Amino acid sequence: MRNGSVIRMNRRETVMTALLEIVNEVAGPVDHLDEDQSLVDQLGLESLHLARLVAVLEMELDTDPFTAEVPITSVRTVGDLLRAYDPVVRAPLGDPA
Amino acid sequence: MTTGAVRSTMDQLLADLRERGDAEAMAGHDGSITYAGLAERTTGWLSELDKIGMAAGDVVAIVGNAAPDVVALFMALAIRGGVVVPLAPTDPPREQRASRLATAHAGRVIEFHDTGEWTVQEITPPDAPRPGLLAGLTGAGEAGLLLFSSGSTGESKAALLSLPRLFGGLHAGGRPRRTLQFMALDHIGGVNTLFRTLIGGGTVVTEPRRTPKTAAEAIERHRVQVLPTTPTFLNMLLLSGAYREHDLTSLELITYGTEPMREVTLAHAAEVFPGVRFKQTYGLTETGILPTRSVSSDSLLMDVGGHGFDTRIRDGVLWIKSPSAMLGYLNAPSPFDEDGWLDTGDAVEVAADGSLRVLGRLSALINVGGEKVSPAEVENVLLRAPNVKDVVVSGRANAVTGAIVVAIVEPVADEDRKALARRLRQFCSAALPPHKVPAVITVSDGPLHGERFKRMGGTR
Repeated sequence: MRNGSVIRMNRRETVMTALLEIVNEVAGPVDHLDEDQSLVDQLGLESLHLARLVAVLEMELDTDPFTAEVPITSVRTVGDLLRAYDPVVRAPLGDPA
Repeated sequence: MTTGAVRSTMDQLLADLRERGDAEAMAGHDGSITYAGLAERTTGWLSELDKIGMAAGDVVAIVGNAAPDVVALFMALAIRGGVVVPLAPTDPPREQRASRLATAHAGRVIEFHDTGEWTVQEITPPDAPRPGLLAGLTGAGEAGLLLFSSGSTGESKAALLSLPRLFGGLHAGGRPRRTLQFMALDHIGGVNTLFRTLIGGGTVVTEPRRTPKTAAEAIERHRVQVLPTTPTFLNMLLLSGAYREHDLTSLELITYGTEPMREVTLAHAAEVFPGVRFKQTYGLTETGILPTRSVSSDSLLMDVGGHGFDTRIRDGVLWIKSPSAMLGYLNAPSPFDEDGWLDTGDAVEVAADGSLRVLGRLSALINVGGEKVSPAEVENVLLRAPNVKDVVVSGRANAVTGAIVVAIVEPVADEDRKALARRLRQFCSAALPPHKVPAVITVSDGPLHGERFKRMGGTR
């Protein structure tokens, strides 16, 4: 259990670092993001930014959570993104309706 | 088609516009215009073209977003028997425009600026003789359309289409509807949406900024009924909260094409828009847009063809014979076989009832959100960058845009890997549009010629 949470925290840091790097490119210097900020509407990310984010994380974490079962379209906020990369037990993503 | 018949097709279009009078032809970022107004502007452009000495067969480039004046000029050129080369304001970048204009043998560029003004620039076509295809088309008195499509060698291919034949293949189905002009006019899908809507008496809603927010605003404000789009844009629309913040209940039909759709995206979209019918489209610059019918809103299976468009499956690959097919490329050999069939390069699966599911492209082209990218073009840019000895560019599956461009480089001298990747992405950004810039650049641990050989063997 403790191991699981350590892995989760490390993963979240990796996701946050990769996200910050891209947000910095798009919107200028930012050093902190809130979990409830929306990726597209508030942070201004476009499809190519999100595509790169998923690709960079696949390389760094060796995992792509957006398979046939988990739609990328259910990720709306920074928090949704962090949770999508959590190991093993995946918290429910933002409601699709 | 005889010269007379061709000319009357185009004149008929103008007469049809005029007849619709006060019905709204276009609405959106550039104001609203009626069919009569659009016909009047077209007539205005006809006399403008006479003033600048435009003759049948002349190749004229139009730079601008879909707006009433751009559409009126497009139609005036078609009526005069010209060859239209539609170019988006920023793609290709201005410095690459000259080579496209030379390939097209264009003699004039008419550019629409943000200020609402337009300019005419006369250019000297290349010394080389006019390509036979151009001469043949204009000799027959047919208006032409020149579109650029990505070639696997990295050189953009200039596809010449006959406008009367293309318009002849547009079957305006059902009642007139308000349609969002989603794609630009330098794309076969954009030309198809525009003229299909106008020929059918609907309203073209323009919004050149293609973000989820601006699209949702335009749908709400102009009560858009048809949204022709791509799977990547649907991804973005769902990822954004924009669809919850705007009233999109006017939507009746969402069409999607130019890249494979993910089942999971379609299922989510169908859930968010329960009253909307979803329909898959299929077409290529080389063939025009084919009639399609999705088996159901939540199915990726579709019937393709009919109305004179024939399809055939050979070794799991879709072949098409189209009445509105291009005449050929100005700068590459014809891709059609002697009977007029085109190998689409799209692998398909055939269901028991004969409907098709497109699995993806067999060729080396990478489909990034519907935009085709040639690995060779990106490799050629990277090979010009400092400290690059060799490079292999390929596509990689991606949940957001279907695929992305990735590169593996072999440096000449040791360099920090992250710094190298960042520097090379910047280098590519200066020379390529954003979708062609490798999303991920990695450094190889050894020489790359082995990788290159493997890729040539056809692995993805």
